[in-house]
Amino acid sequence: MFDWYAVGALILLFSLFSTLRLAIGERARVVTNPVLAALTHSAWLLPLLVVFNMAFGMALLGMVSPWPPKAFEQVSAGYGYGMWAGIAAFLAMLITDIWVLWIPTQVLRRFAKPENLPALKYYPIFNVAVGGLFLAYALTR
Amino acid sequence: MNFELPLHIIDIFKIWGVGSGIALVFALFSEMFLRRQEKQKLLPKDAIANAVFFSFGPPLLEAVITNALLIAALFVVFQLTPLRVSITPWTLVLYFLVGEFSFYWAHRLGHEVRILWCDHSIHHSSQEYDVTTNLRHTPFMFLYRVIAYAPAVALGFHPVLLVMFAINASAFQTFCHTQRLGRFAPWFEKTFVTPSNHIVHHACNPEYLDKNYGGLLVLWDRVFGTYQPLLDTVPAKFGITKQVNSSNPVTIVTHEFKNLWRDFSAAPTWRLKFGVVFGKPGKTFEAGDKNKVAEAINGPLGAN
Repeated sequence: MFDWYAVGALILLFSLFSTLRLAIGERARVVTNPVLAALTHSAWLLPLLVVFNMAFGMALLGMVSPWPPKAFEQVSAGYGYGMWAGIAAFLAMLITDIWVLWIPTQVLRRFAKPENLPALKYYPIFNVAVGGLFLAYALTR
Repeated sequence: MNFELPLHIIDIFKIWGVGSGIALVFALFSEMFLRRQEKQKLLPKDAIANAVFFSFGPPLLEAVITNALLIAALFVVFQLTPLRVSITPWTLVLYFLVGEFSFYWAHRLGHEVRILWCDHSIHHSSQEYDVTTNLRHTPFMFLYRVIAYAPAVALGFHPVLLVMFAINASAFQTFCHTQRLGRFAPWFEKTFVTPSNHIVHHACNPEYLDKNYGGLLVLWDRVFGTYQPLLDTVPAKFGITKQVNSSNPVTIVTHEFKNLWRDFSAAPTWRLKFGVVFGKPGKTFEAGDKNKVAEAINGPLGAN
């Protein structure tokens, strides 16, 4: 039987590629290989408009663990949604963790106006610390 | 036809709210951290005023009263129409586009009908522009949302889902209220509401007035001719054309209502009074402005 969660997982896989490209930063900005460029295109980030808030909200409410392997177990076996839903949950949480811990730094670095760049010197530490606090809170739920 | 809103939609509302709410807290902390790095005041007066508006807005007025009134009013329309658009993964795309359409018109009404502008101008009155600006909520927005969302509800779209889209769009826009980010990829700028094109929306330069009403997409701005990209040659001047010049929440709330009352009282005829209330801001009778008075009575200056 066709499983829509498999489609969701595939889309999230591309969102993960795109997130990783954004996370790497300057070195990954120009991708010359057209296939690689398509697979990591920022358009794949669009599902995150919904997925990020949902995954982050679920983690903070203690419904799904922010630790991806545990999220897989909970969704696939615990809630009984099956393997593909578990994989989708794994990918959604992995992406959410990367976004919370690191992507604000990279977005600010990449798109900041030159005059705002000096203020970003210690922002990565702030980003990891505050993002880490939220995730630590979610882990304890 | 049996049509019920699945209960899990309400759960989704809650989960999404917590996720986006904490993301908002993160953005506010980031703004404060960066201000500290720049040796700026951590919380300028305008930001404090914004926080006051937010404290009374979403957790009290909106959560308890206005969103309930909005949904209740829309449910009256929903009960009167025999039409229904079911909620499925396929129709969600349609819901999204219709939700954006309604958001666009609610927002446009807030700018282009003077009595509604008295309320919406509160959100635009800050002369600063950062993530805290989006906290400056207004008390009567639900009124123009009722007007703009009712036609979609009459066509059978579920009110709760439309309201949910409206709240989501407003939450998303928090991240667009910043001058820290430059332009994104051209395709993204032409499709979505971004910091750069939302700066245009908050600017009071003549080139930028009444532009970029979209929630998440700029689609309907493009369709109805209100899209305006940020121009390198025209730096944005924030605020409203008649600046409040105050961070006092009472002054901010009453500023445009006072102007409206002044013009309404001074308007010599009922036709002009009607125009003052329902006309386009800046185009109606204004007390003390001889040109505006003549224009309102005789038509545009220079026209025969």
